[in-house]
Amino acid sequence: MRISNQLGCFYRWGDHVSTLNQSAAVTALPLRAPTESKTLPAVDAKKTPGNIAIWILIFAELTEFALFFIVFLVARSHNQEIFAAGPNRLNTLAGALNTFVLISSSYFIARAVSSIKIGQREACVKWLCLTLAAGAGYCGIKGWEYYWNHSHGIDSKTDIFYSLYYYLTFNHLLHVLVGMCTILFVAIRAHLGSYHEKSHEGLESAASYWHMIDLAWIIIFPLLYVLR
Amino acid sequence: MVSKLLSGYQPKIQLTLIWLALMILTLFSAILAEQSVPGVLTVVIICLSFAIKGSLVTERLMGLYQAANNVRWLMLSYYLVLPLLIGLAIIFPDWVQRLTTL
Repeated sequence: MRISNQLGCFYRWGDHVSTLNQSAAVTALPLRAPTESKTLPAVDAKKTPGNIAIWILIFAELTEFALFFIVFLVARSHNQEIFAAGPNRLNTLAGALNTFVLISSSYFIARAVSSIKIGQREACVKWLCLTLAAGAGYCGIKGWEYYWNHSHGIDSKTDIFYSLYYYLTFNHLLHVLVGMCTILFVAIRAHLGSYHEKSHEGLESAASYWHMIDLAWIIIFPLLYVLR
Repeated sequence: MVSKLLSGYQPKIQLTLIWLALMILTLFSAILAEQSVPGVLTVVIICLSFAIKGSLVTERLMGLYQAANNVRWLMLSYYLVLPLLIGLAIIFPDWVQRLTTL
């Protein structure tokens, strides 16, 4: 109903696909011009976190990562010896530490969303700061890993495995940096009292984007460091 | 199944238990990486491990277990299709090579 009101049409994205003739109750709603809407429509007002825009972005980003993974697998099939030897020279400790840090950051941001849902704004800001700290930790570990690679004679031109390793991990690092800017923004807004238990869609959208970054790393870690 | 297991706990305890499960699975993967044991079984275990991790993050940390079906299943299918694809490509690289040779 809320979405219909906001858009002035009968579009509903989710498991309730409405049509113009589907419900007399819906058609009875007053129509408003799309320009009147002030916020993006929620995906599902009651259940799905965030709004449509963030889910389109998340699916676009995951598609991009999926294409990288397919390219990696095709390159691997054509250079089996190089790709079998590649992970042996990588710093597995750095990869594992980054996985721990990113999973923890996902936990922190889930706690932030959980806190705002029960009206604990200060706790929410605390968990968001912890998420930022974890993001910074990830960047630090990644920097150390790249330095370690360099001191062991590994760079993006060593062979095709390392070219793809740098391409995937640096692209992911950029996503982490963008995610950190987003978390910083919502942390400031949460601190200023912009979110509360009944209105926290922006926070949920940022949290969903951050989880997507974690989800991409969950595949990158075994693909680069574990599978030989 | 996860919902049933966690149903008796408060949301924050549920999140903490999921986080612990994810940490254990990561530790397990890291140990496997250090052991460097090649073989089909290792590949299957690793792919299963990150499929479970992806599903747990999607369902419980993202909170999609109560989301609209299309969003939820699109996200979950990502963690069904990719582990399968990666597992098959690692186990049968010659097939992939033949399929992608012009």
